[in-house]
Amino acid sequence: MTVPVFLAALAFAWPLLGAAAVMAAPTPRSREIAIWMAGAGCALAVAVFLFPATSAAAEGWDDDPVQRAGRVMLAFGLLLTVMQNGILQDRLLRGLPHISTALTGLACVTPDPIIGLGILEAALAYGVFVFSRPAGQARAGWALVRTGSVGIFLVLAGLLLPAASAPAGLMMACGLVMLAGLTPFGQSWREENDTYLFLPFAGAALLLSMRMRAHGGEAFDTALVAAGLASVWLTACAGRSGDGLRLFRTFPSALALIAVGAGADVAALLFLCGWCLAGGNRSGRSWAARALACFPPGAPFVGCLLLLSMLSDWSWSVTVLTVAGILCAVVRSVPVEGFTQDLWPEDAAGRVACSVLVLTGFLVPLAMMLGAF
Amino acid sequence: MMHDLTWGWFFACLLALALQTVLIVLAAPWFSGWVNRLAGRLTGERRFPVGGRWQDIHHQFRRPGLRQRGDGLSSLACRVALILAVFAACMTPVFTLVPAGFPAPGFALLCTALVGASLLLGLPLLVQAGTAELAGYAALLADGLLLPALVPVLVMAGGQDFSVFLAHLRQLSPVGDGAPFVLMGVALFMVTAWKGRQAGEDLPCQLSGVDRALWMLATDCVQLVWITLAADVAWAGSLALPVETGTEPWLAQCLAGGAFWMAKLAVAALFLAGTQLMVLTFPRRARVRLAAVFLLGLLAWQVAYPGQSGPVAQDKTASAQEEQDPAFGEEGSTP
Amino acid sequence: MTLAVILAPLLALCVVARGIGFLPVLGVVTAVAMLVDHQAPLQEFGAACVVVFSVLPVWFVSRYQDDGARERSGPAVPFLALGLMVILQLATGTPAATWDVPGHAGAAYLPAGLCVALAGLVAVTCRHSMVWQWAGLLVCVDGIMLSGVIENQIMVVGVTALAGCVVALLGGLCVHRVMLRVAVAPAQNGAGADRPAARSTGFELGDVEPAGPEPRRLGPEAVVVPRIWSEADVAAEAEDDSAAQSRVEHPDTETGLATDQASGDATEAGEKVAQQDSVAPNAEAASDEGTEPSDEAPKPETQGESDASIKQAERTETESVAAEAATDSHQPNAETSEDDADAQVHDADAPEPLEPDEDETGQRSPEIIARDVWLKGYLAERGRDA
Repeated sequence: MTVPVFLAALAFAWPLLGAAAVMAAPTPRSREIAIWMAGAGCALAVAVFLFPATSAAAEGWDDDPVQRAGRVMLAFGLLLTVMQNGILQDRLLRGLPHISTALTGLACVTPDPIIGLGILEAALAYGVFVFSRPAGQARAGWALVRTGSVGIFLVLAGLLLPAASAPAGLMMACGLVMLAGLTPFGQSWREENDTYLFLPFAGAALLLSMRMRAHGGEAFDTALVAAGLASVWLTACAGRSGDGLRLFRTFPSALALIAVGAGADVAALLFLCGWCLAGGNRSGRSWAARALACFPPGAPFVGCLLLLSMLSDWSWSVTVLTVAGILCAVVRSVPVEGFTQDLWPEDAAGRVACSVLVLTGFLVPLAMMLGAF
Repeated sequence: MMHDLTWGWFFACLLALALQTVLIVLAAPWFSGWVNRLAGRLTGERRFPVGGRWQDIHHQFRRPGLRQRGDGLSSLACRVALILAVFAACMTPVFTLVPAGFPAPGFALLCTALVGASLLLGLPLLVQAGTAELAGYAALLADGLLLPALVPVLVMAGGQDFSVFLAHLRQLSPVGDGAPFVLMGVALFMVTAWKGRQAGEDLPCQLSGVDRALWMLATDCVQLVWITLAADVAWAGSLALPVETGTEPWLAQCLAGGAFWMAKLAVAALFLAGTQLMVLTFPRRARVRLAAVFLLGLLAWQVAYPGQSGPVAQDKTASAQEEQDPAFGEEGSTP
Repeated sequence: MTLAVILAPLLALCVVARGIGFLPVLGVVTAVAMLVDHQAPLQEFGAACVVVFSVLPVWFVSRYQDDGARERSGPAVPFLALGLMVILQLATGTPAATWDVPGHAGAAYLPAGLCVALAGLVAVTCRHSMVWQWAGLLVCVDGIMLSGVIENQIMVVGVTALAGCVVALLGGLCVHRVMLRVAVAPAQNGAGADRPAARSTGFELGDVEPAGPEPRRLGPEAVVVPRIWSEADVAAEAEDDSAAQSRVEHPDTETGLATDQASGDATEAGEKVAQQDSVAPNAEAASDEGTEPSDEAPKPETQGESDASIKQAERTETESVAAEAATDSHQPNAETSEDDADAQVHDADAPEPLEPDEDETGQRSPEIIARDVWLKGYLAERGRDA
């Protein structure tokens, strides 16, 4: 066993170890341990990205650089989640972000996307089990299971249909849109818990959708772009009401789905970075809102540029629609109050997120030029 | 093909046809009474005994009629409807098919006769003024739309004689290659389900005397003919086929076919009583019935003849296979 | 192409149209459709999974009261599913694989599994009651499993089995928490007269609360009989009797006693105590405890005693302790703490005293009143014996 293979295996197992450590640790020290474990997981993911296990690719385990970079984003999302949280009393809830990140990371890397779907289902089941343990959460938990399972069944049905046919592409796109939780179509996640499960889950759905493009064919791409456009325009129309804010949370995943549909994987990766670091219930903060709205220093901005350059090859009308939709959404639904303040956030989590966003925004185009992607 | 049909077979078939017709006409009120009784048992109500329907018809025949305005038209409609129903019953194989070469009608003619009989049976409701008029209009509309809804089923049977079609089906096992035709049978069965105003209740008909008796008999006949048609299509293997074998095997097959017919009717009565458990409003019943007939027929047609339904699809994968379709279209479901 | 393959979508439509009752039939037909071609381990595994996922949930749901009263969607829903099936069939056409096989060229073809799955998806999307949605998801599992087995894709079958486990377990958990247990069932006409023996045993053991020959004021439709427990039920009860017992009283604690229980740490005995006290005025008000409920009440217990007497004795002891507590005071006492721990072991969400997100507990239906009455009589009797 060579060092890269060992690193890769350790990177998958690490969040599970982290979960075990966090659940076993006494409550007052748990947050500290969680941060250390998540930070080490980030370092491991970066190491795996830099030193890929080339022998694993021969055995079918996925070794796409975009996927590896996506797993780095998932690891940073976990770190941020842990840093944002206070000390949690519930042991299961404490370990949940680690376990869901581990499972979703494993789902992204499996040789067959079908197995990835199964692992996603397992992650969903565990998360819902943890969420719905308190009194009065049974129906909410059931709603999560229902929507997630419907998405998974749709994707499975699409995978069973003959490859590159229209119904297969449509079904898979519908299922992935539901899994990614695009707001009008996906599930209604509750605010307080969504970063624990929903962030890695939707991120893994996005990463999986890149791998299913081969099976989906043209209808798959078109359906993804259409769903993303619909979500962007609905965000633009909803404005700043409470509904609009909910729509605005999934703004980067809508853009990422457009990018996947248009074949711009790197742009999708940048949006995924925005989603993992600033999406979910962080979007209420001013720095996160700025990043999500594709303002210049940050990964989504670079992703926007990349996406538009790819889209213009694909179709001009769609490009115009997307640009108009993004502009409308930015003008109409970004929360105004305190938008320009807080350029450098006070809390450590915000600082880490901002610096990672900016760094990714610089490094990814650089890596693209160097030919890493 | 007339030459290989001997006179003996000709008369035997005529006799069998007459017997089948009489059987259907006589059994129709019994069947309807049995369904009514079964539905009552399922819903927990007390209904008439099985023979009650037949006794009612018998009783109405001997009662003097109460003449009202427009009754001339009603009585004419009832008589014509009964004639049409008996005509359809004569064309429907109960236990035996007719040999090739014997003049047999097409499936479209059969369905048209039955729908025409239903339409005529709705006419008396329309003629009498009052509360039943609206229901009569709705029933007429529903029955009139039945023929378009039956189009997929008619396409399935094709332009060939019904007897030939069934003789072709006869070789297919219903649990194997003939399975799509079971679906077609279900679609035909749906024609009789959810008829009437409420569950298990006829439309209120204010006829009296002989007209009422004829109306009831014709209604039952139409129902039983539909059921028999559905059963024939769903499992054609129980029907006897003359000429191929000798006389005695044919007679034995006829007897067995009669017994199987009874069994099929029992199953159909169970299902029919089961459909009466669904409580739906009157316009909704009509819609449910038409949609079920049309969609199930369409599905059956697609399943039975994938080669023919392929060109209908406009997507790219189907069009890639289009050039092969004509080759397979004709022998759609031959094993 | 077999008859079972054709029947499976029709039965799935029946599930969409009428509810979970058709699910076991669908499961059996799907299993037959898998096994009829040839019997490899993959087929057998798929068939076993399908049967388990279709039969067990229905059996589980049958132990709970129906909550389908909130269904608003109309009869057009199955036709949506049927139309989608037609469109799917139109869009797929014949797969290229069958063109190569000489015997099957142009033969009938139906993507039956996907049709079943579509019907399930329609049920999940368009129906509102939880059990119906659960049935829809299980129909999806059946359909995908059938399709995977027919296409011979091991991965899909495995993943579907996993998803089926998840759906069945979490759905069952949700059903367990949201719905009421069937402790009493509305009387069928003649249900009591059918079983004179059961009635007589009921008289021996249960007629301990002679509240006087008060005339019943409730109508005959409010007459309730306890559910007839089969042996399997008794066995299942023996497994988690304490947890189930707390389930039975759930609505009562919520309706009657939300304030008393709000302290949050109520033990089971506390629930019973509180419930008993809260029930008493209701019981007198309803004046329902004359003949039917109390004399039929202990019948399940007698059967349980004859079948699993040890468990029953334990249970009786626990409940007698509970009844003692009822006569003493309101506080949960130390004897019941082990019972509580037991309940926690058996059911993860047992310690929660109330479940605010359910809506079927708003009004006290005649069944619940009558059940309270017989429960009270039964507990009092046990306490006196002890």
